[in-house]
Amino acid sequence: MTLAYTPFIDAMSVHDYWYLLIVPMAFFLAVGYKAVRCPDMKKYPQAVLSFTVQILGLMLLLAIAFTIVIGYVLPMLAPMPV
Amino acid sequence: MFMSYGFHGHTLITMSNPQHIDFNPLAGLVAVLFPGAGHLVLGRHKRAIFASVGVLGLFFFGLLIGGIDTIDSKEDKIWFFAQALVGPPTIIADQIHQKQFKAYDMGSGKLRTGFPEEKRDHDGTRPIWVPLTDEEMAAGMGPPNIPGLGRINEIAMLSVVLAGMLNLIVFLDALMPGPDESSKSKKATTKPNPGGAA
Repeated sequence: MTLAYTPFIDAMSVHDYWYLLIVPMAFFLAVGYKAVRCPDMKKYPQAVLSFTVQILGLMLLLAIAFTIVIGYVLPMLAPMPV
Repeated sequence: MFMSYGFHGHTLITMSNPQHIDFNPLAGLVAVLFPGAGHLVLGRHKRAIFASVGVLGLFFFGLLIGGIDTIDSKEDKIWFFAQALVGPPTIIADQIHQKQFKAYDMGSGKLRTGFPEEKRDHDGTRPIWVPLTDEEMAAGMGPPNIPGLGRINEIAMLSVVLAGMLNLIVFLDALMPGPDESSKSKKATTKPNPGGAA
């Protein structure tokens, strides 16, 4: 067996872009969730788009909050010896 | 649902009838067999297709980025419990992974994924891992699959776990379907009003 990339068998080498993988995950989650939770299917595309943006927005806010806590607040509270 | 009425400066709270929920065991059983199939039984075709696309989209996205090693009932048992909620696709992928891609370690005798400097062979009774020779390594040989490492492996497993949890919601909705507002509004526009009253 040679070491050539085979989709669905081998892992993809996307280590530099791991944070972008949340976009399709959020989209598929919204597609599935709104399929059973959207009261009016006429408004389904807007509901999916809105839910996807909500997930991504919340994740972005969490990322900013954790960056502030770990990068600025924690070093102020417990400075590391240089 | 609560309804409130203003009454001489006071608020009177009464309870309206709760939303009617059916119980459909057939739709629930079919939903276990394939994601979204329960909604087909209920006649909610659009919802069935979109639910299926959502669940299987997450499932195959996880497999695409993490490979077959994303689903492993032996080495990632706790993750597998949540992944198994997708149903037969997870069970089939796990069986293929265990039988076609794993082999036994000659030292410990345990079934495991191969290392880059090994190849899968057969000793007559079971598949085993055999170290590669220098010529085989130079020829680019290796184990039958390259497992995901670090974040990629975690994100891939998480994607299939999300597919399983989403399928649980889809299954519960098929088993205990609430009133479909879309079909209700369609009926309201197509059916003539026999009484003629508003």
